[in-house]
Amino acid sequence: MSESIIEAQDLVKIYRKTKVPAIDGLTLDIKRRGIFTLLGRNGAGKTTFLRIATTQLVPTSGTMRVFGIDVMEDPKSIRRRIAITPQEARPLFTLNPRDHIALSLMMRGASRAEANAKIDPVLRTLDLADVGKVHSEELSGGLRQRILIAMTIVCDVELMFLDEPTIGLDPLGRRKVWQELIRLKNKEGRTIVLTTHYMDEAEALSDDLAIIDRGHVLAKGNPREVKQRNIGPKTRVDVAEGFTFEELSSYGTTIRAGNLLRVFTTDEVAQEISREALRRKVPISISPVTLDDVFVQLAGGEIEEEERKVENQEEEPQRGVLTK
Amino acid sequence: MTVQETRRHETLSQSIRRNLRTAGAIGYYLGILPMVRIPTLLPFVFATPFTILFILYIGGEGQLITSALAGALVMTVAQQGLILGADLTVFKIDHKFQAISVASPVSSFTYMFSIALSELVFAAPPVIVLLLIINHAGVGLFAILEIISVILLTWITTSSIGFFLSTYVLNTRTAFITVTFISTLISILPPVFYPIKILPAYLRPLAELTPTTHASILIQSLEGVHFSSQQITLSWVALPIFAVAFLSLALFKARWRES
Repeated sequence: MSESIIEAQDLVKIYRKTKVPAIDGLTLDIKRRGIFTLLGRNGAGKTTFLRIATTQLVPTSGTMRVFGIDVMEDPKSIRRRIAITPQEARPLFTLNPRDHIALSLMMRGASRAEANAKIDPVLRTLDLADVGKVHSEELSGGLRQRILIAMTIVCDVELMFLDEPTIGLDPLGRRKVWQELIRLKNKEGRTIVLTTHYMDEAEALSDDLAIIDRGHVLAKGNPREVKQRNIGPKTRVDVAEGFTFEELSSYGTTIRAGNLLRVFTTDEVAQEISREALRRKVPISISPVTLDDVFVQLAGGEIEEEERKVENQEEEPQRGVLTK
Repeated sequence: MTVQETRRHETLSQSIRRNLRTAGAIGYYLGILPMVRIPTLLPFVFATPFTILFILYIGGEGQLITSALAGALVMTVAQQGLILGADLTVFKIDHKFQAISVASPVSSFTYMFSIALSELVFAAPPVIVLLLIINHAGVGLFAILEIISVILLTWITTSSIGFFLSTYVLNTRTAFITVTFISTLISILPPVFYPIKILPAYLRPLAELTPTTHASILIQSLEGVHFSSQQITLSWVALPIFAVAFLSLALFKARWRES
């Protein structure tokens, strides 16, 4: 049995209307039994990748194999073994959470009795038991999203796709979903492919991840590897006041992060900034580099480059990339 | 062996049983259950066909009742078949239910058939009322069974049109406008509610290009209206051909998987 559950080779997808490649020569392997996360900006090609893998969308060129089966040659054999929570889906009118879960199972051939046996456990898992018989249109956005997740995780399939599954969920709801996904991976040996914009989610869940942009893989590996490979320094220092951009640039790579100035540097230099901050009596925050930082650096690189060009045209350069 | 592994080796009979179960589940949850839970939807199914029936009955002083009854029956079924297109578009765009279904063992035929079946159940109350009226007017049981077969062929034809359209339409607004337009085009404009003989001769061949014209002719003939044997034969041949043609279009040309 192949180690990879999904293999994309030189995959290209160009939508007829836009004519712009949503995926442009993507080559990517996803291993069996684990949680794989696709990260990328809006329009990076994440959903397109998922739609091709789930046999909803025909690629323009290249190959995609799921379970070793070509998505173009034998999609039926793939469909039996997968389930998806699409992005921005909504539960069906007049149906309650119990109905949705029963429908999801019975449309795959489960009997009423088999479906009934699985409904209550999954409702309890996702904290939907109290609203099991409430019509979906009367539920909050977060609860509706949990119904859609429940419809997928209840299925007895080897490979699940979740396209931005925790969008709209509160922090506790997200953690409930995380726990269940980790349980499905560890206890039931499932493979889960998800997309998300939450970097903490990707970091907390992923065995492996890929950051893609316009259909190209910018980085791939486990979260620790991706951070190590793509941002040299391991420490970041956030400063709200008391330092200028130019001053901080002399300590390491410095960027603006909202109202903060953020320096990526080594532990030793961070201590040095800390001592200086103490002398100036200004607060600072020191923390390890996050996946969010890597993402901004990789996926946001082009934006920053463009912004920098605009700034350079308008005024003297402010932003330096200096290291001490 | 997991359920998935069992499924990979299922026999033909197991596959048929699973597909029937799938059709039953989708039809029940997407069609029947909403009707049971929101019974106030039911009057809408009666509204248009019975309004036209009433107007023709009053306006025609009872003379047009036979064709009007046939028209109401055909329109009820045709309308529900086409509404399938609008409903499927909502399921596809708003609920992403088509995406969930494509990424599952559900085939496009099972998906279409199960939701179309639920639409037929939705159309059942007015159809039963109309059949009871026709039966009360003296049409025998055997003829009623023939009328039911005409209704089923019309249902297959219009449901296939509805399904085909839904896979191409990109937004719900367009879907509803298209469905209303086609419904008018095939249920009101051609001789469905009125006798074909009152149409100018040069327009009759055009009218016969619509499946609902043939459905209405057949029902009217079963109600006792005289038509030539060639016309009856033509309609009995044309209606199944329309059904097979549009079903083939739905099965082989609908965009179940997007390109």
